[in-house]
Amino acid sequence: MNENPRMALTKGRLEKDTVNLLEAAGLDMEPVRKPSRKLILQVPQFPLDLILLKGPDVATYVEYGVADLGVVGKDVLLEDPKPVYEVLDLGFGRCRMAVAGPPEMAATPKKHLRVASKYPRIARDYFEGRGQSVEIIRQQGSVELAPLMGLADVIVDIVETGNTLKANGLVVLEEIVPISARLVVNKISYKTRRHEMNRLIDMMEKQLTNR
Amino acid sequence: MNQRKVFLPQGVQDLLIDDCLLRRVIENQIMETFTQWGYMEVSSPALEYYDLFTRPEVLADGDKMFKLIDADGRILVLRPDCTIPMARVVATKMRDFVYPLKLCYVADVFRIDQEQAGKKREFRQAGIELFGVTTAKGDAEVLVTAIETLKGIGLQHVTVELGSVKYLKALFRQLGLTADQQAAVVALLEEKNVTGLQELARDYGINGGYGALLTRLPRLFGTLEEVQAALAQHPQTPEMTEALEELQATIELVADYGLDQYLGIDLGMVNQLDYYTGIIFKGFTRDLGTVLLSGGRYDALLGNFGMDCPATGFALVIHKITKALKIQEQLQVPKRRHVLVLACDTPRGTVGEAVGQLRQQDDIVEFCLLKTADDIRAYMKKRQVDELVRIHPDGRVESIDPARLTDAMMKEVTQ
Repeated sequence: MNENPRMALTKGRLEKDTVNLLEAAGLDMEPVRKPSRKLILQVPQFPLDLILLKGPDVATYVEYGVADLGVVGKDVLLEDPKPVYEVLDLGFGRCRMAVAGPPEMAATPKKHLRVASKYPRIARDYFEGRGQSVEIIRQQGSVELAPLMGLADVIVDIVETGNTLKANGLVVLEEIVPISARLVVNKISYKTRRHEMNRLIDMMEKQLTNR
Repeated sequence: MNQRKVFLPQGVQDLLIDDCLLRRVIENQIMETFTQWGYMEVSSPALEYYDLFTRPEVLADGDKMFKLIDADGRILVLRPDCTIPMARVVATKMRDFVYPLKLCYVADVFRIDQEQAGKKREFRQAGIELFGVTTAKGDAEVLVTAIETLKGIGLQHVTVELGSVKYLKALFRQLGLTADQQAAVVALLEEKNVTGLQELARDYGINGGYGALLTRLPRLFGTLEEVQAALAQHPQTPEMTEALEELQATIELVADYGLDQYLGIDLGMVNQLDYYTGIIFKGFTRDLGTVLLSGGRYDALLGNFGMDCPATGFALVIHKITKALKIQEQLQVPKRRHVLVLACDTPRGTVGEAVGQLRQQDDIVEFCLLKTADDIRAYMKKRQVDELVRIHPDGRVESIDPARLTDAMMKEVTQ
């Protein structure tokens, strides 16, 4: 068992939002703000260690209990479900998972749809749920390009402002699910350290309701 | 293609020497505890009909089973679970046995889990099943056996947490949830997803005291007293009260035995709700982030085989137990005295007699099959051989210092 509870943060924007939230809750976040090569950061005067990882790794670390808690996007949890507790919707990192494509796609639904996505599982689940069989084309990035180049009919991707879509002449055709950052907890840690975990959860929740 | 002959498929592994030894030690200890509690070992085949696990839908997910086609076209599976085969064995072969019937097993189970690279697809489970007891005494008996088993193998910081399927189902009935709604609620309870439950309650138009209880469920875990205190502000139906009393009675029985310090409660615990019917439980240690043991009461399962018989039991996963023990540094490879024998030409039978005597104290005694002194010394070092002996023609056993062994001495030894 780790001495201090260990929280894994998703590098990038979610990390910044989480750090702001914890800071607002009264924690000293200086070590995280300072650029450093350290991989495990200790919060001064508070029993909490932080580690920084990529989204899917956050979920994995928490699943195995290497990290007790984690902050990760709902998109990651939907694409690669892990047996972890998802105790809090943190509200930030808000966007939508949506089907997007050229505007004319809305008028002429196709029988066989080619879908490009970084989220093959979410895409498949969504279309299967509607009874439509689709061909999923897995992408690593620049998904908007696929319909333009004729690789796919539509895309399934995260939409925040819609600016990228607009710039490429695409529109949101259907919304699949709203996305935001979630606080996840290892199933065993939550039980064996419930007082520490609940304290952290309550502390973060209180900040959210105060906003 | 050519390379495949040297690799293993995903999710399976070879166990070498010490790991095999440790597995045997752990399994023996576990089976010994089961035996001491009156459980009798049975063994079912690794191959079963696919239908056994899917009709009626008990284990539901047919996609996760390894399937084979029999010569007559029927679908077979490698067993994905041990409890259902046990129920089949009891209903078809042990109906007239004396009850309560206590059975135990240790067996390999096979599950397809492609999503997660590195997860085991073949692993060993050991477990017990108690047939023919409806009372809390039966549940307590199984719980005590579970705790004693974990303690018996030296596992530390053990907790076994109890939930109640009866309580959950009573709440769902009170809320008037449809089957689909129930499935959605169960999925969110599994995640302790409070936000999700709150949204769902809004969508379903659930409010009032029971709605508040539903969204509070993820937090209703801890000690019996803590949970009872938290429940005080929530309403409950007579059915729910009954389920809680059952839980309390079970805990009291475990307390009478003196093991209640290992127990916790989680009213938000869910586990295959169409399979379990009463108390369910999960065992873990704070040192490993995964469940080691799980079980509960499944009074309806035997009905699928035309037998009306209550049942309860648990299974534990051997490799997870091993991992936890390794983390806690509770594992030692058992060491026996190891003797290497150089035998000279002797009258027939003399060597056998001498070796028999050497082996009497559980020692490892093996004949030397090497020819040179250097090879023998290298072998002894690698295999951690404790003693080198020579058996003389007259049957006399002489201990030899390996450092002083020469090739000349080897000439007298039978090759």
